[in-house]
Amino acid sequence: MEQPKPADEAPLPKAEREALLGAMSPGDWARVESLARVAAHGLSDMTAEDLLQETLTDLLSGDRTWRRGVHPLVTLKVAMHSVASNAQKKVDNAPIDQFATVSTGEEEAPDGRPAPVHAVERLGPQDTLEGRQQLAALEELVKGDDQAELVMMAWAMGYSGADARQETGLDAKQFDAARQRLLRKLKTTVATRKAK
Amino acid sequence: MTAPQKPQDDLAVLLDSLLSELMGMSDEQLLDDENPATVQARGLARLSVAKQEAAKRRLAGAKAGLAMARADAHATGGGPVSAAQAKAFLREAANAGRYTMAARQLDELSDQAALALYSKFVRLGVVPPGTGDDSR
Repeated sequence: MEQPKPADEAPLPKAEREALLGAMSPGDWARVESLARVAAHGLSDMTAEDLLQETLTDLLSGDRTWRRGVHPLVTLKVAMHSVASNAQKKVDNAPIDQFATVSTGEEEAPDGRPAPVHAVERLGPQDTLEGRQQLAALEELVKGDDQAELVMMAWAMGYSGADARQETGLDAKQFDAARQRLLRKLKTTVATRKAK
Repeated sequence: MTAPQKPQDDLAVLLDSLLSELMGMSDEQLLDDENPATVQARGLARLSVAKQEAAKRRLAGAKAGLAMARADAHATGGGPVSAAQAKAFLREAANAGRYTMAARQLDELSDQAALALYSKFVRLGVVPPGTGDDSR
């Protein structure tokens, strides 16, 4: 006979999921939007808005689990990463584009046409598997802003808050300003992509 | 706040750190001059759309289950599955989003192709063995 699951491992019923998401504060919605922007950055087939919408639908339809006692933001973060990861795999496993132009490395950027692709993929399967491809796109986003780049690197290394600040060597004011520039940059990038 | 984590998925580590960072930020910093009511309304609007989509998915799932039950009932009756029945089953299965199928329209499938695809589903165990043309 199957043993009943402990209460904290039991999936949360639909009504409770709706109630928890519906009770999220404006600050929490802003947090989840920031998470979506990072999780979707570098994906070609999915915007941050698509990712957040798809994740909410998955959670409410029961297609993704939500364990009791887990904070909505943690659940959303894990689920969004999973949805984004699946979207990336879908792109990676897509058929080869037979109409793509192979780059010679010397041509000008084409006007209104897709950019030439590189004949050799610099990123290996392991890079894709571990999310390095998206991380590389995020690093590209902050290129030129050394302090924002340091903040991004500290987060990528697993540091946050005071530890991240210490790791970057920035003072509190510099760190806060660099973090704000980074978050704004992500927001602007999403808005630009949406406008296209 | 947090200690460096064991290397795993790079993006997962970044998202963990980011969430921790965001939790330590004030609402004012997060909203960054945006009206709180606007941000919340945007979130609730997404939630409303998600509720409707989730309901559609559950409905499609129920329909697919019903179609499978019908196919099963038909099989226990002993008769072969017709092309129309096979197409109806495939359409329900595709709408439910639970199975990945060829990216061509079902309507474009010939009767023979629909029956062959249905037969594959039988072999894969999606439809209980012994149904339709599986007996061939």
